[in-house]
Amino acid sequence: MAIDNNKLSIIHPTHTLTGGVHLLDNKTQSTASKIERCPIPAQLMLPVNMHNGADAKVIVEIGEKVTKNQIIAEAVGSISANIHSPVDGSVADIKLMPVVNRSELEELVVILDVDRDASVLSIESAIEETIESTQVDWSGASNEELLASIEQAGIVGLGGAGFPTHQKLISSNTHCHTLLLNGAECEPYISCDDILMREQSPEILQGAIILAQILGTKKIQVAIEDNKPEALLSMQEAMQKAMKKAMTEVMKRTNTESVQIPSQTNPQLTFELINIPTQYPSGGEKQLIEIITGQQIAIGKYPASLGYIVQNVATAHAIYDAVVHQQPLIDRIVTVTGKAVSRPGNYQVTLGTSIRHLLDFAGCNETITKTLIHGGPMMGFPLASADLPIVKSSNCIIAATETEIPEAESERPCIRCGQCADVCPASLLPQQLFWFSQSGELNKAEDHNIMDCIECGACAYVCPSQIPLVDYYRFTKGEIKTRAAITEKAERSKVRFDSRNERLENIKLEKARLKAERSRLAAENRAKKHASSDATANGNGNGNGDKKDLVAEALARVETKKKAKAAAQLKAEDLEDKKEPDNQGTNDV
Amino acid sequence: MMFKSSHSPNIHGSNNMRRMMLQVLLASLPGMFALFYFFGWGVLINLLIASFTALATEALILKVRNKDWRRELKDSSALVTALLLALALPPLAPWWITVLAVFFAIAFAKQLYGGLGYNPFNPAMTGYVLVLISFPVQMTSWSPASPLWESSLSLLDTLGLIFNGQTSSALTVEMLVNGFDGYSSATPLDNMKTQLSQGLMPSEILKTPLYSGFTSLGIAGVGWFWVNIGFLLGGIYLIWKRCIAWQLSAAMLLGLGVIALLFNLVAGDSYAPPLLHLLSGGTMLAAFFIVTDPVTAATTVKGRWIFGIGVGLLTWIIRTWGGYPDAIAFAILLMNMAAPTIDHYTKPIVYGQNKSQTLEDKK
Repeated sequence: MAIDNNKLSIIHPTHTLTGGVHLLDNKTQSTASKIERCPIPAQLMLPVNMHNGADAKVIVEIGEKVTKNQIIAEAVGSISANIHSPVDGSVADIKLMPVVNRSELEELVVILDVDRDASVLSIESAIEETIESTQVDWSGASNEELLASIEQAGIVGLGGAGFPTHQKLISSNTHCHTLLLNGAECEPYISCDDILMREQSPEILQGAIILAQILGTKKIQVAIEDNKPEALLSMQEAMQKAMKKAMTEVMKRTNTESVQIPSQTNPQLTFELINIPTQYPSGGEKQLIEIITGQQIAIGKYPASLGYIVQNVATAHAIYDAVVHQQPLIDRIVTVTGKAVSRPGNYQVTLGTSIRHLLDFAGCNETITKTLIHGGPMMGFPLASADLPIVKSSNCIIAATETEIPEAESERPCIRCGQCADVCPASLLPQQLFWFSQSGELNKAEDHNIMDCIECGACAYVCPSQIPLVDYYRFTKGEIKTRAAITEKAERSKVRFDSRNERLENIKLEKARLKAERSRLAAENRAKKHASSDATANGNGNGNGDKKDLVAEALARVETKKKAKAAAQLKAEDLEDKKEPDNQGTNDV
Repeated sequence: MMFKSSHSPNIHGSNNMRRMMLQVLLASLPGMFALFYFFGWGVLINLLIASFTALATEALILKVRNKDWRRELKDSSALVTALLLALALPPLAPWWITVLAVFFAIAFAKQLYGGLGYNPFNPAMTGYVLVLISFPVQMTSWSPASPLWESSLSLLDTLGLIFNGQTSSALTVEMLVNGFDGYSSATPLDNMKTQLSQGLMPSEILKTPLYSGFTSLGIAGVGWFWVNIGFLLGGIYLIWKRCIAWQLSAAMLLGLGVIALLFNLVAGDSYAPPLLHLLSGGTMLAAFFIVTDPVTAATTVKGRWIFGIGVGLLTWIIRTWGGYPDAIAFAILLMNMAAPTIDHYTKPIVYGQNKSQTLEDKK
């Protein structure tokens, strides 16, 4: 496809990512047709955790009627996201059930019965939405209001990570000069971002402009892999239009001397379209920044340290919906593909729709489906069943036949060929990490920076011994985290123990001080009395001696009483302190 | 219905160990052909003996270790060890030398350490050194390359020599190699070493029949020149197919070439020229087929350079000042010992450890 370079220059970065592999795209199967809306099933299953962070808190009860866009589960804490009801209906059940996740653990799910005619209605309303009849003018909105509407809409990163977007925006809010829209979509099979960019680039760009407004960034960059020329062209057109609009605004301003121009068309905003070479994993946040800037983000830092914030194109689109149409995140584009699917393509799917329903709609022959993958073939994970709901991070469902994703060959010993190291985008030594993982040498694994592994799977892809390296790394990382937690707990116990010792020491000192004080007072008293008795009853030496004894006896009595009391107090404290370390001990075992 | 579980990544590249090993076998063909052309049937007979011994030994030990020997044999790694030994041993060595070397390589150097991937020493070189030290006479009985022979041996005679110690006309290996005009049983490297010690200059030595003629262009030994060119071609193929780490080969050739050149420049009268070192003996075979054994070499990129250069330097040092005319096996085993340490000190800089520069840094 010819791309008119005169319109908006397309930048071809000269830097490359470290390592990386070239994979078969397998994207054309699902890009032949336009986005199609998947009908809403009779029942929706909405897990309270569709994001990276704390579970949302369910605020509806079984049997309660809900309306479309109503919040049914509320974000808890800052790293969490609201869950909305995508339909009018009623809460049928709230229960633990399996959801899409790697660990196959059950999670709390709100099950909604959809009102009978809601599915028809929602299709109509979806059509209405695209006409943009309900557009809201956001130009007057403050950053706080914009952030609040993003938070309210329950938007999370739609590229797969699922990190709550408002939180990412808040934490990157300082000194970001560039908003980088990630349209790399480097994993094979997945094409939901590609098709979204082809069909709805103006909306994506609007979302990006809103983001730039919130962040105060001066530049919007869009990065797209060079295997998506249609998407590139479409984004180019949209950016061109946005720039033109900005220019006319500037013209208007100079003509009318208007006091304030709408921030919506910030004339200072510049646009850059970046065409990056197709190579996996170019879409990783760190990798993308390395390709574009030639710089690496320091270990433990975020793109903001280089002045960048990266957002997925679909997230930008969701932000547009949230701000302009006040539409919360209740559906998303999902690529359904694989050889077992007769109508592969991209579907607009209501969150909570069962994967089986979606597969049926896409014409999936389940009898020849041998592997069902959620996500891409590299980082996605296999599902045991299709009766799980589509969630916010569901970008792709692959129903693969036996030949498409053949049974993994059995694992052979590592021959240290180092091909894994050649493709590692993080410049790690996968073969050494494997060795340490196998022998449980956590220190050495950590020393070889296992925690910087992004789990892209390039190493396992090229491994001639077919070792599932990423599985080993995930396990070792888990072990390291567990150990760190235990160490931290021990550290806390130590601090507690030290402070207890200090407290005891203080009590001892205090006691000694009191004792000294008392004896000083007693001595003073004695001296006083002695002086007075000397003055009053001179010569009555014996009587004075008896009195002295009596005073000393009384003082001794008081002393022993006090001692007993202090001892009892100490004992009580001892018991209290012991409780926790005991728990600690059993936990360690 | 339950779907199949798999590991992520759920897809895998076409690369596998069997394919890599078969590429190595394929890449050895030009060199092997040159050896066959210049040294006769012995090479192929050795290859058969070695392969059979290797497979039998590996199967036997895997069985003893309660492993699925049918599955494990498929990786062809035993065949590669057999191939390397067959190419390294003298073509007319008695059959039991080959059997012993291969058996020791597979059973002791490889399987006793835990099998493929766990051996610290290159199995082929360990087997080679065992027989080299134990049976120096047989191991130095290289017949001269065919253009220097009056008549080359028939297949039957070669079989007789290898299995029975004599040909049909009752000639032994010693009688054969000693019958040749004074340069008996001397490989070019061996000969060069002897002649240099007798005060001859390299330029004079290179004019003798052992080095001259169309087959060597006067820069390396007759026959050996083409054998090395053959292995060089195979090596380039392996690098192109990404079966070996090119840094190892390049580093070894560089290490050997540079030190040979330096000494030859400073004292050209007493040190052999670098090309003779590079194109004689087992240099190219080692550089592309033996040094590149990933299990026993260093695995970091920097480490590979250090490892390869080390092999090159040690080879030249032992060839020049040591007791063996060709020293590659010792050089490789010595560097095998150093490989874990090299790896330890050459960890690559990971993403974000160095290159990075934050905004704060800029300010």
